[in-house]
Amino acid sequence: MNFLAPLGLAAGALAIPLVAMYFLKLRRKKVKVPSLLLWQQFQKSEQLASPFERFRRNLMLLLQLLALLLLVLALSRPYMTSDAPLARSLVVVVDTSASMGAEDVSPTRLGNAVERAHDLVSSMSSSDEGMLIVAGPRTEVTVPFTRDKSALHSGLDALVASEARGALREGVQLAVSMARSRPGVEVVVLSDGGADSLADVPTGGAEVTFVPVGRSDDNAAIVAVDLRRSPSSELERQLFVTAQNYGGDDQEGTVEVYLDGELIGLRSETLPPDTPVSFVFDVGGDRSGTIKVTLAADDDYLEADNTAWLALARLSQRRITLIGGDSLTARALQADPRVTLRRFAPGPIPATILDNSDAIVFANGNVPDGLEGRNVLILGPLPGSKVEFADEVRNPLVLGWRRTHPVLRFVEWDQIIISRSQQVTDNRNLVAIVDSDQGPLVLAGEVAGGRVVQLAFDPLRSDLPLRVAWPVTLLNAVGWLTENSSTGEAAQAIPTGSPFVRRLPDDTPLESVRVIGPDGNDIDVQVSDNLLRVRDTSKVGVYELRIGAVRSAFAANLLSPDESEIGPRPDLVLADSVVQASVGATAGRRELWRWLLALGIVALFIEWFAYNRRRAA
Amino acid sequence: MSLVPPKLLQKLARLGLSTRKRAAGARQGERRSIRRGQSQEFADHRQYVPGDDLRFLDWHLYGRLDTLWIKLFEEEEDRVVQLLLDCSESMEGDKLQFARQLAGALAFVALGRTDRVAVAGLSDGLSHYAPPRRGRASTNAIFNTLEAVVASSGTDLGRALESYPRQRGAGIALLFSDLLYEEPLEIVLKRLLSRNSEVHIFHILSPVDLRPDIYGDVVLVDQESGEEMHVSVNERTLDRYEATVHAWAEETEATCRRLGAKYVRVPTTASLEDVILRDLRRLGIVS
Repeated sequence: MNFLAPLGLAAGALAIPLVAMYFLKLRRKKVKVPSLLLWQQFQKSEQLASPFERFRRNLMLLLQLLALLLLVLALSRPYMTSDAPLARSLVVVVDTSASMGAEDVSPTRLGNAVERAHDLVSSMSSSDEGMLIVAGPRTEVTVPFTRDKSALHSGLDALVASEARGALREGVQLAVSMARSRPGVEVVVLSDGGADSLADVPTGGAEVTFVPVGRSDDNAAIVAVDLRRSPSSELERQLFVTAQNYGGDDQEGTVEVYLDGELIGLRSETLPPDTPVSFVFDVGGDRSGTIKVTLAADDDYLEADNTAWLALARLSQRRITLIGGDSLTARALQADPRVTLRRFAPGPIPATILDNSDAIVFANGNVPDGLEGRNVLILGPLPGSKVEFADEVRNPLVLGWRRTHPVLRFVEWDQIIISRSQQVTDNRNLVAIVDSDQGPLVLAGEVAGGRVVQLAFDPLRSDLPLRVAWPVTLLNAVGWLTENSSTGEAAQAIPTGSPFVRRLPDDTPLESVRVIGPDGNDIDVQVSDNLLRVRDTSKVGVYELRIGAVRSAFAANLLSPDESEIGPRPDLVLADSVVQASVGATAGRRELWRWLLALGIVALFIEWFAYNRRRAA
Repeated sequence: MSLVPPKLLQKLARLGLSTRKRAAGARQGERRSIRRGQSQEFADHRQYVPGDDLRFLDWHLYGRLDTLWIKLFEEEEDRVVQLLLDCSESMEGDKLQFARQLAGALAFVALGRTDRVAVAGLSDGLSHYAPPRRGRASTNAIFNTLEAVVASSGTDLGRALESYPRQRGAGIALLFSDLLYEEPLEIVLKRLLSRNSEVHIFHILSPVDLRPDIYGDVVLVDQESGEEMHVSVNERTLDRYEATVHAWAEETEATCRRLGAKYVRVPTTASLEDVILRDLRRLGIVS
C-alpha cells in the first residue's frame, strides 16, 4: 500500500494529545469503601478470567484511537495497485481485427480482451468516465464518453471479431486525440499488436497503456488466391493458391478447392515456417459458380484465413474502346480473343459508346471530362490526363516497379529506354507503380469508382512498343481495368473490410438493389451517381448481388499476411514513447480513502453510542 | 435514647443465651458446669472414700448393697459472655451501629440470667474494654460502654485479642465484625476457641460491601489504609463482584463450621428484631 499524500500521516501526532487528554480526564471520582480486600480479590479473579479486561475498560480510548487512525489514513490517501487502472477519463480501444479471432487464449483473443475491458470498466469510480473505441476494419466510437458503466459493458458485450484487416492505428489516433480536449485521459489499448506501425502517432499527453492479448504465433493461412488464364489454353483457367505457415515448425497443409460444393482439387504439402507455398489447380473456362478454397493444418489458431472464396463467372468479352492510337496498339489489344475492340478518332465520344465500353484507351488527343467511374487507360501525358504534369524531362532512368501490381505482371522494366517523359506534380490519388529518377512513369489507382492507368511518357518516345512488354502491359492493364466490370474478369474478389464498388446502369432505383452477405442477411448499400457501394464486407465469404432480376456475386477474403501473422507484439511504439506491455494486467491504483473515512465515521459513531450508553447507565 | 428499642427489650426479657457445652465457670450460676456441685439435680454415684461429706452418702444403696456410695449432684455456674466488637474503620457507619445494637440486645439477654457480660472494642489493639458485669442492673452500663465504642484505625484482631484480659471461668465469645482484614480467620477463631467454650461469629455486612452503589471509572479508597484502586464499574462488573462477595462469605462460614464456631451473616439492612427472634432462635443461639 502506498500513499498519495503521505504528509497526512503527520496528523497521527494528534494521538499524543488524545491519549494525554484521556489520562488527564481520568481524574476519577474517589469513593470510600470499607475495605479493598474484596475488590483486590475480585480484581485478581477477573484478570485470571479475562486478561483483556484492561483493554475493555479502555474501550472508549481504543475506539477514539481507532477512529483517529482511520481518519489519518484516509487523509493520507492510501492506494493499492490493482489489476485495473484508475483513470479519470478512460478510453478503451479494442482491436477487433481478424487476428483477434485467434483461439490461442480462451475463448478467443477478442473474448479475452473484452473480459479485461469489463474489469477496467468495473474498476471505474462513479466520477470516472469511459469511452469505447472499436478498431476493426473501420474505427468506430461505439460508446462516447459516459459515466454509465452499463452502457460501456453493453458496448463491450456487443463486440464481435471481424474477418478483416484491422485499423488499430486509426483507433489509437482517435483515442489519443481525446487527450487534447480533456485532461487526465488514459488510453488502454487491448490488442495483439495489429499490423500497422504506430511510430508516427504522438501520444498527445495521454497516458497510453497497452494490454496485449494472445500468446502463440502458430497459424497457417491462405495468403493469396488468383484465377488466371491458363498459358496453354485461352479457354482454360488456373487457380493459384498461396499458403504460408507462420508458426515455428514445419506442418502439413492440405488445400481443398470446391466449385459449388464439388471438390475439384486437393493437394497436401509440407508448409515450412515463413515460406509461402503455392498450389495450382485447373478450372475450366466455361464453368461458373462459387469457388471455395480451404486450408487445413494442425497448429492453426486462426480460422478466418483458412478459407478463401471466388465468385466465378464464365469468361466473357471485354469491350474496349480505343481512341486514336496506331495499329500496333490495336493489335496488341486484340491479342486477347476476349477483347472486342472499337476504334475512334480523337474527338467527342458519344455517351452510348462510353456506356457500352468496359474500358477506354486513350492513345492520342484530349482526354474529355465526365469519365468519373469509368475505367480508363491513358497512354501518355495527354491533355486532360488524370494527373498534373509539369516540365518534360529527358532520359528518365527506371529505378523500380511494383512487380506484384496486376498491370506490371510478367513485365521487366529495367531494360526499357525512355527518351522523354513528363514530371508529375500531382498524383491525384493515383499510385506510382513504375518510378524513375525523374518521378513516376506509370501510375494506377481508383478514382470515383473507376480504375485509371496513366502513363507519364509517350510510348512512341521509348522502345517499349518494340518489346514484348508492350502487349503484355496493355493486356494486363485492360485486364485489371475490366476486372470489376459486369462483363469483365471472371473471378471477383475483394479484401474483407474494403468497400465494393460497382457502376450501375443509369437510373437504377435503390429499391431494386439488394446485397446478401455470407451469413444470409441483407447488407446496407449506398447508391449515388449510379455507383453502388457496399461498405460492410467484414466477413469472409460470397456476397450475392441482386440488381433487379440480374444476379451476380463477389467474394471477400482476408488474404492479409499482416493479420495471419498472429504472433502478439510485446509493445506498442508510439511517436514519443514506447508503451511496454503490462504483464498480465494493467497496473492501476485503487484509492482507499472513502472506505477508511466510512470506517472512521463508524468508529466514531460506536464511540458516541458507547459513551451515551455508559452515561445513561 | 436507649441503644435497643424498649419494645424489643421487653420481648427479649424472657430469652436467654443457649450453650451446648458444659464448662467450668467462676461463680455460682445457672449454667451446668463440668464440675460436680451442690445443685438439686442428681448427676452420678461414686464410691465413698474417707473424708467425703457423710451428708451425701446414699443410705438407700447402703441398705441394699451394703456398700458405701456417695451421691454426686450437678454444679451450676455462671458464664462470661464476651461481646467483642470489631471497631476498625471499615466498620464505621451502619455496620458498627448495627453491631452495637445487636451486642446490646444479646447483652440484655445474657444479663437476664446469671451470666456476666464483658465488652471489648477491637481494632489494631484493644481500644475499649469493660470488665464483666452481672445482672440486669448493669444493662445501662453495658449499653453506655457499647455506645462509647467508636471506629478507629485499622484491624489487627490477633493483636487486639492478645491485649484482651483473660476471663476467669468459661465464656461465650460473640464476635461482631465485617471480617474485612487480611489476617486469616482461622487464627482468630483458634485464639478465641482456646479461651472460650463457644464462639459465635456475627458477620456484619452492609450494602456497600455486598453491592456498592458506584458506576463508571472511579477510584476506590480503603477506609482503613487509605489505599487506592482504579476501577471501571458497570452492571456486569457489579454482578461479578457480588458473586465474589457471596463466595467469600460462604467460604468464611465453612471455615467457622469446620472449627466449631457458629456463623451468622447479618446484613445491616435486616431488622434487629428479626435477626434475634427469628435467625438466632433458629440457630439455637438464644432460646
